[in-house]
Formats: sequence, C-alpha cells, structure tokens
Amino acid sequence: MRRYIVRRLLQAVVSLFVLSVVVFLLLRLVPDTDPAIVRCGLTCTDASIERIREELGLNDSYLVQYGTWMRNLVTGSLGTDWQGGSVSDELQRRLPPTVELLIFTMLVTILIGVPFGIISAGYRNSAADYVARFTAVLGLAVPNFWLAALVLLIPLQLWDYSPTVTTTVGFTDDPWDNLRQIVPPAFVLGAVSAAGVMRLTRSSMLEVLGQDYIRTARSKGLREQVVISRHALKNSLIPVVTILGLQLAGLFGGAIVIEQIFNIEGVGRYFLSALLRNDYQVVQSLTLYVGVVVVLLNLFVDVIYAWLDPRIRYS
Amino acid sequence: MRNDNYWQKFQRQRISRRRLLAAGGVGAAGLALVAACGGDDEPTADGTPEGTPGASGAPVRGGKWAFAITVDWGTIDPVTSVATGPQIFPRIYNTLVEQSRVNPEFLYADLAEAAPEQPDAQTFIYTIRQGVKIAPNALTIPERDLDANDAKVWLDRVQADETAVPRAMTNQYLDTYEASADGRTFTINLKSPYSYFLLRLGAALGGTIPPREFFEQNISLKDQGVGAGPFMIRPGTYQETGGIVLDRNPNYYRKDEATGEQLPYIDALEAFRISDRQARRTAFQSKQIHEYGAENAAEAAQLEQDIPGLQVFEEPSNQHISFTMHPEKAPWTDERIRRAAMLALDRQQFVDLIVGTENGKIDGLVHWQLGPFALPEDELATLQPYDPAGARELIRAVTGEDTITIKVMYPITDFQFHDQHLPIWRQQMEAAGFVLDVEPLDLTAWLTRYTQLQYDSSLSANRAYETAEIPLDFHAAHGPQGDDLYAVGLGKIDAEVEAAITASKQAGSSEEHIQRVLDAQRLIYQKGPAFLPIMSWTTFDLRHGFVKNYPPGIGESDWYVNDWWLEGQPS
Repeated sequence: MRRYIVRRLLQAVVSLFVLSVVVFLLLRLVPDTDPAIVRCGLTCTDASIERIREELGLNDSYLVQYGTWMRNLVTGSLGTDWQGGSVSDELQRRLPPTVELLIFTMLVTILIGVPFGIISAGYRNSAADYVARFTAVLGLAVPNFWLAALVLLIPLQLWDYSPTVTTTVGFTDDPWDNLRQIVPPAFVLGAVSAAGVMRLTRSSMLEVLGQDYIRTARSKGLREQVVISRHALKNSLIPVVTILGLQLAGLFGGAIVIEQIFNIEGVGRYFLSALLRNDYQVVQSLTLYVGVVVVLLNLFVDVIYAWLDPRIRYS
Repeated sequence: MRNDNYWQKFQRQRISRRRLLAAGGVGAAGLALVAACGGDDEPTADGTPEGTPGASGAPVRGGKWAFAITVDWGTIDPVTSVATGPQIFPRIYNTLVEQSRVNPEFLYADLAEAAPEQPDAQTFIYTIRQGVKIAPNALTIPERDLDANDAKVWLDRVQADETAVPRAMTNQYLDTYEASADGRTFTINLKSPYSYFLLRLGAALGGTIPPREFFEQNISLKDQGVGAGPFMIRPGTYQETGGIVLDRNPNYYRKDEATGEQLPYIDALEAFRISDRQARRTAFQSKQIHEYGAENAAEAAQLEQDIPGLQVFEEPSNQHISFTMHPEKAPWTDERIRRAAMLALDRQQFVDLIVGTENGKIDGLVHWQLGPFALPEDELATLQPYDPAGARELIRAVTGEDTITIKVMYPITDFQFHDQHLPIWRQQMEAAGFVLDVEPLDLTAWLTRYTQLQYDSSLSANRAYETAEIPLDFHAAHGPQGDDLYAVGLGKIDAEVEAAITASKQAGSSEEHIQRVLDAQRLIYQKGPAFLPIMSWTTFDLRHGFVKNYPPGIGESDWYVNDWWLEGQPS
C-alpha cells in the first residue's frame, strides 16, 4: 500500500507539472488583455504600466516567468494579486467559507443521493422508484443558477425570509447565522450532484443485488434490510465514491457561480475576479491549487476502495 | 440665497428638474414626489431641498443605513478613485461648493460658506466656513478646523499626481490658486472662462478635500482616511473587495436648520459589496440593504406591490449605450461610412422594444435629459434620420459594393440594457449593409481596450453625462478626459469641430453657452459624428418606507445631504 501511494504521488507530480505548464501558457496566449494595464487601473500612465510589467516580470521570457513562478511556489509564496495584497493571505481569508460550502454540499449530496438511490433500487419499478428517478432527472436538468434564484426568492416571497447576503458570516463569529448562509447554497450545489449520485447508486445497487452472494444471503433467510445494509451497500458504493471524488472538483466550478449569487466571499469569487482581470498570478496559482486538491482527493478515493472491497489489492 | 453671478444666471436658464420630469413624461409616482417638494424652486439657504418625501413628524436619531456597492473599491483615495469611492467621499470629506448636475438650482455650500464671488469670468473667490472640524481619528491628524490651506494643498496634490481625477479640468483651465494668510479665503484663477468649473470642482468624483496633513506627511489614503464630513471610517472595516462602515462624526459642523439639531441623524452607514443583481434584490426585499436600483419599471412596480410603504424615485439614468467609431481607423476615416452608420440606426425601435416611450427617448449627441442643451426632436429627425437605403447608397459610393465589413467589439455584461441593445443594433446595421466582424469581450478586457483606444469600433457601455461637456468631448481631439483615453473625436481630424467644442465651454453667458453647445452639435452632424448615443432612459431608485426625508431629484448630490433619518427601522 505504501509503495502504491508513493507511486501515485510521483505520478501526481507529473500531472501537476503538465497542468502548470498548460495553465501558464494558456493564460499568456489569451490575446489582447495585458494584466499590467488591468492592475494599473483606468487613470494610469504608460510609465506606470511599464513599471508594473517589470514588477510582474512580464517583460521576461516565458521560461524565466515560469521558473520564477515555480521558485516562488516552492518557497510558499503565491505572489500578489491585482489589489497588491498577498494571494496567500487572501486565500487564507476566503478558504473557510468555500471549504465549509463544499463540505455541506457533499453532505447534502450523500445524504440525499445515496439513500434515495438505495430506496429506488430496493423498490424497483414502484411509485417510490419512479418519483426518485423523475426527481433525479429534474435535478440534473435544472441549471444551478436558476435553482439558486428560486432558493432565494421563494422563501422571501412566501415567508419574508432570506439568508444573509450582504456579508460573509464566519462559523466562529455566529454559528447560526453562518449555517443560515451556507446551507441554502449547499443545497443548491448538492441537489444537482445528489441527482447524479442517486442514479449511480441505484444502478450500482441493482447490479449488486443481482449477484450470487446476495441470492445466498436471501436464501439464508436474512431480512431484505439486512441484505442491503450488510451485504449489498458497501460493494455498490465503489463507483459512487469514485464519482463523489470527481464531483468535488466540479463543485468548485459550481461554487464560483453560487458564491456570486449568494454573495459569499469565498475562493470561487476570488478566482472569478482574477479571471476577469486576467491576473496571471492568481489564476495560475489557484488552478494549480485546485489541481493539487483534486489529485489528492483521487488518491484518497483510491485508498478507500480497499476498505470498501477487501478483494482490491494494490501492488 | 443667490449671488448675481454667472453661475446663478446660468442656473436660472437651465431647465428645472421639475419641468424636466414633466416634459419627460414620467410616471405618477415621480410626479407625486415632485409635487411633494412644493412649488418653490428656491433652495433653502443651506442648499437642502425643502419638503422631501416620507418625512413625518420630528426627526429620529440613530439607526444604520445599509446600501450595496456593485464593484470593488479599488482605492478610497478621493483624489484618484474613479470606481465606487465617490459614493462615500462626500460622507467623509468636504467639498468647497457642490452643484447638482440633475438640478443645477441645488447648490450645497460645504467648506465654503456660499457660492464663490466672481469679480470676472475667470476668478472664483471662496469664503471658507469656520468650524469645519476634522473627526476624531487614530491617524495622527489633529482635530482642527479645515481652512483654505487644505484646499490649496489638495490642488497641489492634484497638480503633482498624474492619476488625479480632476486633472482633466485643472490641466486645461487652472491657472493660479492661493489661500489667504488667515486661511479664510481661497481664490482660483482660470486661464480662460470655463462654463463647467463649479460642477467639476465640487463633484464627488475627485472634488472632495482631505486634510492637508495627508499630503504634507505623505500618509496614504488608499485604504484609510479622515475628514470633516458627517461620517468617519470605522477602523478595520474597509475591505478592497468588500464593504466599509462609517460612523457619525461627533465633530460635524452642520445643524438641521429646521430643528437646530446636529447632523447627521443616523449613527452609521454600512456599504456591502453585492455584485449579483438577484442578491441585491434579495438583500433589499429582506431589508438587509435600504436602497435598490430596480432594473426597469416593471421590477419597480412589482416591488412596490410586494413591499408596503416602498418609496419609488424616478430619475434620469446615468448610463447609456452608444456606437463609437475610431475616426483615425479605416473605414471610419471616411465621413460617408460614419454617416451610413448613423443612418442605419432606428433609435425609436430601441426605445419601443427596450424601455417603452414612457421610460425613454431617443438621444442626439447631447442627451435629452439635458433640456435646452439637447437639440429638439424635430431637428434630430432631420439630422439623424433612420434611412437604411441611404446608408447602403453611401456604402456603395465608397466601396462600389452593397456591403462593407467592419470590426466591432462589445462587452459581455449585465450593464443595464446592453444585452437588449445588441441584437437590435446588429440587425439594424446588417440591414443597412454592414457586415459585422464582431469581437465579444468580458467587461474588464473591453474596458481596458476601450480606454486605451484599441478598437476600430465598439458598441459601448457609457455613463450618461449630466452636463453637455463630456458628450461633446467624445467628439474632441483628446476625448472626454482630455488625455486621449476612451475616444478620440472628429476634433482630431477636423480643426473646425475642435474649435466649436472648445468655444462651447467658454461662453460668457448662459444663453451663449446653450447656443454654442447646440451649434457645436449641428457642426458635428455636418461632418459625420463618430460617437452615436442611441437612447436614454429613466431609472427607479427604491427606498424602504422607514427612510424619511431622503432628498429626491438632485442626482448624486444626495450623497452630500444628511438631514434624513430612519424611523421604525426593523432591527
């Protein structure tokens, strides 16, 4: 197992290197918008633009720029953003709400997607199955920004209720207000991914329920509840865990939109602001950062396989 | 109290806000509010409009006013900020005298006691008010009275800083300025008469005066500041990408003339950064913010139904869409092609399809909201007719073919109504023989290229300017800021146009001023304009019923006024 993890980590380094090169080049190949001009603002002069270009190293060759970026990363520096502040500090400030949002989203995804998938499979072709499948298709079809608007508007119209949208409330500052703020967007993000998880859980569970060992378990006289929970569930979760790992990366993309709509000062909004300003330093560092998280999550998922199915061995 | 100087004559000649509203065919709500202002056009001695709506009984102290900002601050240095900062600068700092662009009869004498004396058209003498005391602060700025030396040092900074906002004005017109030895008088001499001087010098955008210590001791104003305005920044609350909290300045000099009580009535202001419209609306409906700009009349009406006691203020919009051509780049160097683009536009169709005739009107080169400075509609019908066949003929005369390909960029933005202008504009241009090689850009990239003149033509999002100066400057040699940014106009290639625009700013009387602005427009139409505003509309500012006595009808001048209060504000 240890050797497997080391080998995967080494592969991850290669993946991240390729990612860093692609991001680095793509940003610079976008035509027309000079990040120095955007940083400088609208009332700046040619001299100040040139000074900023020098400061950012934009007059250096791509190789030198890439080398500088890598050197800074190794020393733990993510550079400065268009506001002149440290990217690391900004990330530190904005990471908690985004992480919290993603954790709650995963909770919503799992708590809705997995049980309804199991029910749908366990009661195949029943009314409950049809309702669950219809809801899942609806969840996949509905754009999350539209659902977000509804989640804001309906409680407002019906009960004059709204979460805080003026400012981002930290969990330690006011846990109740924080939860009121984070749970609705987590529901929006989670509803869409729960639909996918529900369908996958259902099909995986149906496949497992058709296996010989399940027939054996039933023939032993075990109750259906025990058959599903003790024998079928764990094995049917392997593809679900895989998709959950992949979804987390996708959820970060969704968080960019949802943070905007719910006015949460998280990493997603920071990323969007940087992208619109063509701020190389922030965009490339954040992309790599997300890349690292995705690679590590996938490794974590692979390791979980062995726990879920002891037949899986790593060599 | 009025002084009999050029500015007062000028103001009297300007169409009043009330007549403008009536002429513009605004809705009943707007008219009702205007009626509530009373029939007297005279401002009170301190400039505060009388009889503003929502007031009932005695003013109430306390409460926090919450509002949204939609873009990042960038900086809160009042000398250089061009983004969101001007919304709070009048709350923190002081200006000499501010004049409303929407209602020029409204003068707000702040650091100066009254409108400046004018011994001649180029000299302005301000008498500095005593007792304008700086707020308590931890920035080592003493709690002293501001005087004329603060104004002088402020202009020194403007002169020294290439990025200072007022430089477009000071570079061209400012000659000398001096503070008297006792600090009670501040005198400005201009190089030539300049019709927009008072409007420019007192504007929230670049016209507020920080204490001189900031400049003398080189203390940064980028993310901090203190002045003698009604509020002071609560330390640690400013976030470049977030909000800010301002607390009441206990040293503020101004008292409510009606009650004799010290202003402001409210304890604090809080700005929240909310870029998404839906989130802003939610925040407003749930009373997390107290002011909201509705997208259109329908949204305003819907919210009026949903929120009891809502106050709706209909105002001229401060933005519009225009088609901008670079007259030094082919094919726009040829006046026939510029004219063809003008003939291609059916402006009335934009009005009908987007806002309706109740809420908008077609624009000439100077916007209809500017009353006598705008050309009359019947004359516009002759000068800028909708004639796609004529456009095709002009194109054929230049190219020998029925069509011409043009490169055009535009921003992808939720800037009000831009997305609705785009398909109509494309259809009209294509119908007139223009083949469009379009380049959609995100707002930041578009704005950068627009600013740096990196375009052939652009369907542009612009602010609607509240004086005739900037719309005409879009046709001047060096653009609206005088620094070759945003646009170069026909003036670059036509000395006659440049001279007419310059003359329009240097009129000796208000009648002459209006006449010169009209003449300059007629001349530009003759030469084939390169900047074509399409239409302008009215907007709907909404405030909750617990906001009392908030001044309507003075545009951004309401940022200076502080005699309103919150009554029954939900906790």
